[in-house]
Amino acid sequence: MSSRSPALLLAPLLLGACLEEGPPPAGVHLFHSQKLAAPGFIDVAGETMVRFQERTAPATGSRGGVSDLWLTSFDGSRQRKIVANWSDYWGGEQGPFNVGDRYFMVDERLTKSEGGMARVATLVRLGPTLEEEFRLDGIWVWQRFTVPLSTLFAEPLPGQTCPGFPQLDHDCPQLLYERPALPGQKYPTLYLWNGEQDLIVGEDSGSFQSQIMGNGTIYFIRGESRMLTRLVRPANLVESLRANVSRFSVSGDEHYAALAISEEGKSKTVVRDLRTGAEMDLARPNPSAWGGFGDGVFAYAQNATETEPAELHVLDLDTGEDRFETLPSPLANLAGVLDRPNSDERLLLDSLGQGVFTGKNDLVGRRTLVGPLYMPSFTKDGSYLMYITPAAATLFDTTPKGPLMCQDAELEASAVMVSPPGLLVSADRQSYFFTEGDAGPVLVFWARLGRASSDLYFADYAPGVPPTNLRLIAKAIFSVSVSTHTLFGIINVSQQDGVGDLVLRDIDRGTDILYSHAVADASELAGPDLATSYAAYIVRGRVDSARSGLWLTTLAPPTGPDGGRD
Amino acid sequence: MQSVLLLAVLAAFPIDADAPLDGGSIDVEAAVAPIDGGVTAARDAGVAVVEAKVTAAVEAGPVPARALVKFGGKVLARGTRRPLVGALVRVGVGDGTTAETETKAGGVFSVEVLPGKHNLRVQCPGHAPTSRDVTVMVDTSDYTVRLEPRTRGERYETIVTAEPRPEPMVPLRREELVRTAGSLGDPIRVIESLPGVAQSTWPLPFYAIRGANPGNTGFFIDGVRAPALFHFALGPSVLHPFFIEDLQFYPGGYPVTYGRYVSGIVAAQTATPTADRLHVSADVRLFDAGGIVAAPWDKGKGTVAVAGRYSYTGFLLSAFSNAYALDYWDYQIRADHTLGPGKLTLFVFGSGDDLRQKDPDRTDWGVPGQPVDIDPGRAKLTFHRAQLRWDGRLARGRLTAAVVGGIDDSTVSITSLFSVPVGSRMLTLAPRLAERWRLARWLDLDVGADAELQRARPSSLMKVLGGVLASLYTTDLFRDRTAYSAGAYVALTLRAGDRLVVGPGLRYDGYFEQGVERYAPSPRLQVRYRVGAQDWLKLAAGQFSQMPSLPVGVPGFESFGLADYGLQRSRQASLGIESALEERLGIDLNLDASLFYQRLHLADLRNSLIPDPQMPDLLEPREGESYGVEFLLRRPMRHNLYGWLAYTLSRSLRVVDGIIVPSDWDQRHILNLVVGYRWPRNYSTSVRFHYNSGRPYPLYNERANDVEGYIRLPGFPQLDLRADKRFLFDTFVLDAYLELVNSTLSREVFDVKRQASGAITENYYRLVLPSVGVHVEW
Repeated sequence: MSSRSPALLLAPLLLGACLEEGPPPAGVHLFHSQKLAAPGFIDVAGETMVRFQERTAPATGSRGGVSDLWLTSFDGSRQRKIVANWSDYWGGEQGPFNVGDRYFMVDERLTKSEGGMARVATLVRLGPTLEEEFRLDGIWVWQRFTVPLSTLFAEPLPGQTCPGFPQLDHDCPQLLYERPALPGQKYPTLYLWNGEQDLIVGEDSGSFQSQIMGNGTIYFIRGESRMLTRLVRPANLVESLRANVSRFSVSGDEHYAALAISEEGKSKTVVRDLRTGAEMDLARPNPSAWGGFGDGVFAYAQNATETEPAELHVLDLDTGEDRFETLPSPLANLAGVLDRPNSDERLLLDSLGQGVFTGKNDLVGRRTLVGPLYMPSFTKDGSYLMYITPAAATLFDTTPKGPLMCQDAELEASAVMVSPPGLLVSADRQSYFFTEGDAGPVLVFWARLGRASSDLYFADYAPGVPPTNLRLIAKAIFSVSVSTHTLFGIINVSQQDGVGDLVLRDIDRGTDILYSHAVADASELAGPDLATSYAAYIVRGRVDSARSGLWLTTLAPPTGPDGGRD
Repeated sequence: MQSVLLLAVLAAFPIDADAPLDGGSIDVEAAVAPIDGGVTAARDAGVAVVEAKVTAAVEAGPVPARALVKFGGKVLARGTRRPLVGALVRVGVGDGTTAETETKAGGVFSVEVLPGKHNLRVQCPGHAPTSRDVTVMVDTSDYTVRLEPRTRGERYETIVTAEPRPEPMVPLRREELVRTAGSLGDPIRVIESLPGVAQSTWPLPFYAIRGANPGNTGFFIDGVRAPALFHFALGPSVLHPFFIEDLQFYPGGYPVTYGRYVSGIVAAQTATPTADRLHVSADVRLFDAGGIVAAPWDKGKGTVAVAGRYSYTGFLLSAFSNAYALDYWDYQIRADHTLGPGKLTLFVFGSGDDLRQKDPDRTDWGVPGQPVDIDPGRAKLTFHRAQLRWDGRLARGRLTAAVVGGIDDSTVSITSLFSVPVGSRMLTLAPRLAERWRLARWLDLDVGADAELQRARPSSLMKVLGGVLASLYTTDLFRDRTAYSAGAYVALTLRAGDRLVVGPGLRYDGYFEQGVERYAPSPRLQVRYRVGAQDWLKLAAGQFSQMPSLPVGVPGFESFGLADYGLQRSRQASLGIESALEERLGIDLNLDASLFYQRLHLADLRNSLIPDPQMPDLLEPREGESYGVEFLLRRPMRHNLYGWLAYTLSRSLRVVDGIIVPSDWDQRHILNLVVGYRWPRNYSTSVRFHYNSGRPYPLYNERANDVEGYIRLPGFPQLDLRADKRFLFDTFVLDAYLELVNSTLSREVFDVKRQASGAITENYYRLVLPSVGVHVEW
């Protein structure tokens, strides 16, 4: 009988029994809280532990969401908070704990700066055992990178390790970061932290635009003059290269830089020889897109206009010759290129989703696909192009979405709708892929009816034939990992509560192992078999209950499963 | 019928001081008139009864020998022209004596007097007496006297009632129904002011009674189950207000004569059209206009009444909204005629709602090249019902035999409501048979059976597109289907002296749908035990069952998913006390307080935020319970100051994903204070104050793209005001009223979200519903 019902006099008296809860979640209840998220596994000093975060405050207008980050052993006997007051403002809502991540912004706050209040926090780095290593206070933007040891020491001593990281002897962690401009300062200050000490690099122009080369050299735009600046290491020599730069891209050999220049009220793009200071103008002074440097050339593109087709330009860096070819109509620009397997063709795509087949070595249009084509990709044999064609936006769903289509690459037949008519496949992220099954490729995609949660489908693919044998694998999926035979994850998700059932589904047999209802998030640690595979998951009811919190179970069948709902 | 009494309680029947009756004395007061030969000592029932005794005063003096002439006519109520039967007519004969008589059927009277001028005095319970001089020279048979009904002062009611029934029930009389502030003059909306009723979002007429879903409450009109009792949006009921005679509200533990609902029952009875003459009434409100015509036919052996209503809210909404237009209509026809030892009644009614998007979203519903030819941006809900019923004495009991036919037709193609268009057409055939016997003074027996056959032909995008989608996603709600349900019952009412009434009953229902059959016994027990002179303990317990249902009633979308969801079931118990407090407090107050508990197994909405009926996971079976205490303190309407205080403290719980949580309808505190007052000169006013605490609601965090947790929506206080004025003319009545619902413009929050900025935004209505109405009755 429930313990929450002191007033239920009539129930036992007249009706026999009170309401009872359902079967308990499988496994061990490791941590009780109603506000947990992002469970996962992490190796700490050779021991696999469970990580998770506990939300302590939601995001507000002036602050990001705040969480504490925790670790627990599998038996729950050792638990520790490794980061307190982590702010998701810099790191997104989910998953600060990616392997290798050691940096966290904590204690977010507002501070006075030139021009108003600035949002700053303290950057914390954790060590290999997730103990705190150091803090940088009052910063508002940062970029971490690693450089070879040789870029920090011209002549490294035997046994030389990275500054500040005696356990590292090759790739040395570095940080480029900024503190907001103090009152009276016009621009924020750019710092370089080399593992042991901070170096003031100079005033940033405010854009925090930098390019870090493999040798540790850092390019950035400095101060009022918007000076393209180079910090050469290990001498930490600062060199001014070119003023009035609003955007730049340096070639890998550091011989050239493409620069967007704003001078005297005019803007243009030039390619500057960093060795000589000579600059080359482009045939199109304000190209629509930069293609980058490669093999002695700089490529860029110009969008189509009403009267002229789009152009692809190549500037020869040695001769200064600017050659171009026009893109086949109706491409407005070049937003992507897909090589068609097993053919000499490629598919050029523009930002409007239109596609034109051309040869791999020319820009002569062969066939045109009137789009928009969302998320296009070729089948492995190159016979078909898969894509999502957009459906009309509705009042409550303006995200790109539509049916999944299959078009034979020769355009000899009309496109075939692969997803069930009426269902919508999201086009703002990858919603389909091919995987290898026992009898050939299997198309995996997820689609939804109206505003419902997405359902997972399989279809078989055989060369030369559009996908067949469409079958529904799971309804209302949240996050699942899937093979052609099994599915593990959260399904039957309730949109109202954002929770579902955590199951391991044998797709071939159509049977489920149900671990728990009301699962908000889960992570799997795969082992050789079910008994040595684990799932860490979060149970979250509508209200806090004895079940709320972090649970850990092996994937071996729990005692007395009560079956899924599907 | 043996058990029915007419208690004409005329306890004071005062002689108006302005019109003294001279020359005689009236030793009044009431009459006990038996109906169907059953006379029971009314005093034993706790009602004051005085015997009628009229004494003619005889004046001394010689009597001239002249020929008498006949003086006759009618006594009618002023305004309504209702014939007053039993009115006392006294007229001086002219010879020093006074002739007196009582009006007969049709209000007719006749006396013999000497030619000349005489004083005529007429008095009738519930009306102001009159005194006037009349000159009678020849035989006269068409003299009309109109008595003005009393509208204030401590009044005495004519109550026609059966002996106490054991079921817990709140009866409401007509004047309470139409003049309670907040109801916009709509009788059935008065239930939202009663204990145990949670309104999910005002002004939508969705009532969760004792913690069950709104769709778990049954609505019956003259025994006809109505698929919906309210128009949507502003939510007036589908019956013309003046068609309704009275209303019984059973929050739980309803009698076995009703079935196939797991929560409460709201039962409305229509008024029998009067057989005396043609009646016409019309009313015009801010939102709609309607009228009733009632007339006798076949020399008074039959009556017929026709009512209808049409709203012009579309026009009004156009002034305020560029997005939507709304219309609704309803009609009722009732015809009665004697047939054998009883009466045959045809009752036909129907309702329609039409919500139109002015600029609907044109969408191909996600199917390139295959646009679905459906009128977009429209929601139409219609239903029609026709019942043929015979009531009369048969086999030494009272028999009711009825058959109901119905058509429901609904379509919705507004994407802001549902993602894809849906529709359903349903035919209903429902026979019913009931017999009641009085086996002894202490024992009644009720036996009956009823059934319902429904054939549904729904339409949906799946049906249009077919293929994989149809095979994978079509739920039973959108399959062509036939559903049968049938039940039989037997119930006893035992009276042990005047202290104990026990009502055991058993109902047994069978359900047949989706290729399965389910049976549900529904034992019930009601007990009333008098623990004091005016104090009753009452207990009710029972088991109830219902087909799976949508959370709110929608015509055409019923009787589905029996195999998928199983039967909905409930077990209910309540224990309460009913007390008349007049002797203790010196104030005429009645107290009704009850504890209740319900154990529920319901088809619950899985996602109340997007309740799209086409979603495969629209519903899921859930266990639940609700419990609480209901309190009703009521001052009868016979006083100038009347009203009630109703308070409910309750919890409504469900097992969601294995965890016991508050249900979507859980409102802990609900308070209603209704106060009415009758002023002189036919003015009356009514005030209603309502407060309900908020229900749980998921707080969606747009930044995290997840539900952050559940919070309670803010409470909702509401103050409603109403004023009525009745203008009485000789042959017609004009009622005018002004009503302001939610006069303080309180906010009704129906949705909350945490925006990406972190701020919590509340979506709310801030509506005041003004209504000005005129009702003319001839």
